Amino acid sequence: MNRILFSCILFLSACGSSHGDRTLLQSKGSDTIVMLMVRMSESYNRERPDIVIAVNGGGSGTGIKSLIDGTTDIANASRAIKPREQKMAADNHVVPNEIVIAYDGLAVYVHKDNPVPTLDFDQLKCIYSEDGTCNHWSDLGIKMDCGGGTDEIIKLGRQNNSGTYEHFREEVVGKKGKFTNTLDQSGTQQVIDVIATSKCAIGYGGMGFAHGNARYVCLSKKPGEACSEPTTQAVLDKKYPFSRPLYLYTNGEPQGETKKFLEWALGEEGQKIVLESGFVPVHLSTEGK
Amino acid sequence: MSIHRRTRPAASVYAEKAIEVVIHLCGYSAILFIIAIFGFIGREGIGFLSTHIVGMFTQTSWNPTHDPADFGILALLAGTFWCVGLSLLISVPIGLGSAVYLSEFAPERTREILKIVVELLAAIPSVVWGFIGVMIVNPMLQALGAQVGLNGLNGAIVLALMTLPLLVSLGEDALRAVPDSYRQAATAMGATRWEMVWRVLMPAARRGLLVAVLLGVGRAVGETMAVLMATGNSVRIPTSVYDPVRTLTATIAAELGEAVRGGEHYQALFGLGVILFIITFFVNLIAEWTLRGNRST
Repeated sequence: MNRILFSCILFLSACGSSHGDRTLLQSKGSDTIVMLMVRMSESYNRERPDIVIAVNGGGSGTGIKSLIDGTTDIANASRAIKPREQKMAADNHVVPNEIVIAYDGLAVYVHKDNPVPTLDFDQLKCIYSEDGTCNHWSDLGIKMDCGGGTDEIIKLGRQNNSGTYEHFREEVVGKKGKFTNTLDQSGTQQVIDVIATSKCAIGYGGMGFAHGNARYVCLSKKPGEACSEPTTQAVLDKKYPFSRPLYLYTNGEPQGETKKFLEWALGEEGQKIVLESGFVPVHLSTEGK
Repeated sequence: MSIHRRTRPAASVYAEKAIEVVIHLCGYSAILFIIAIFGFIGREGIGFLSTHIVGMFTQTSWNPTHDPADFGILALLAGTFWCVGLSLLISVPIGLGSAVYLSEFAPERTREILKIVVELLAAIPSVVWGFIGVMIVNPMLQALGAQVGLNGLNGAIVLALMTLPLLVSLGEDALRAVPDSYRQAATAMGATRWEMVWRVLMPAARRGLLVAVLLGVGRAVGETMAVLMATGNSVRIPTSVYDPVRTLTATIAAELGEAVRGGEHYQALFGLGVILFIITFFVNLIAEWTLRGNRST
């Protein structure tokens, strides 16, 4: 609903301010990126009233499918293109060109009364993987009582079509791995809401959602390594182990107005919007190297 | 008669014919719609079902976005029937008890008021029921010792509340359809009111009561929004009432929005739609058969 509304507003504002020919660019895909793209297209439209960028969500898969069908100029994706999609693109003579527009940190959340100090990826795998054996907090050496004398881990996840789900799966349980019995929520906020009322719950989602009874966990990639908290700075410095690139895909090298827009988006002003939208800019993060 | 017809203007005759055709079409439209709906769901889903049916009914893991994907629906079916079964355990005693009270014990005025209230209960949108599941039942179950309040029992409680109005209304109708002579005969034989209800009215109205329960089942199987919000959405075969589950309907609702149109996942969800359609179709068919049996006796 929101996305339709946004594109409508974009069209209306364009009609009001433009004179002469307008160029319409289509941008479609990930719901993680949709707000970022809407903000970018609004700002860009202020600078270039002759360019209208219509932004639509629908998920990363939908965006890439649209690029392959030729119904969008830019596909937004919170994951990299899959080999299967590459093949489909090749069959349709589409050459997906990948651009990293921003970075997004993933955080692992637990209840504030949960004493777990740090977690590493092996422990996360032990909790979340189908073959994992960590079903109780005591399996991780954490003593807690979730009421009723049990300390069973309540494993929260995301819906299987979300980019966040896909990213977490690849990093934690592996590309071919499967999740164990997770409670699948339809947004990071819902994950936080369940954690806030269930002491023994663990969940993952975008950065910056910690509040009230839910806190994030300091993460390290390997056991024994120094852990890092999910902050913009830590992602910028590449210290935080759990960040993912957000992609824009075009068919071949971007041309004409698409190229100009993407240059703007990767430039100072575009990246400022990235930071304002709660993501980590690519610029500063490459400078930080 | 035939003389009359000849004297009427031709336009009037044609108009009447046209109206007759329109009324016929209206009568058949329900059949047309049901065929069209099944055709639509079937067109997207049957192809998938025909190639994946063995995997669907032998696996429990549902990972439609993985590569290779799993399309096992056993856990989803278990989730659906688990919620519906638990909800019946709650709604049947309360619903039929309420129907008995309304039809046999309540004074006329109380009956009228209660019937209106029960019908109001039926008018509450399912998303509001889902909200009640999340905001009220959820903390209640946690206070009772559930680790997570969003679970199969929560879904069952919400479903029970949603199907109650149907059970009460239809159950009451069935009981009131029993002729008064039965009641008089029972009373004359010296039966207490309770004995009359239990030994005479319930057996006499059993088909109608069964229809009420079956239609309640059909309603519960197809309910989507409330179970999506209340059940915790976890694909698994439940072993405890506090286990979170995921139903067929919730899966379609949660995943269809972002499934790529025409892709395997999209078709799989339509396949689930076909299965759901078949389940509710048979439940309603059995209810209809039961009702017909009722009329013939």
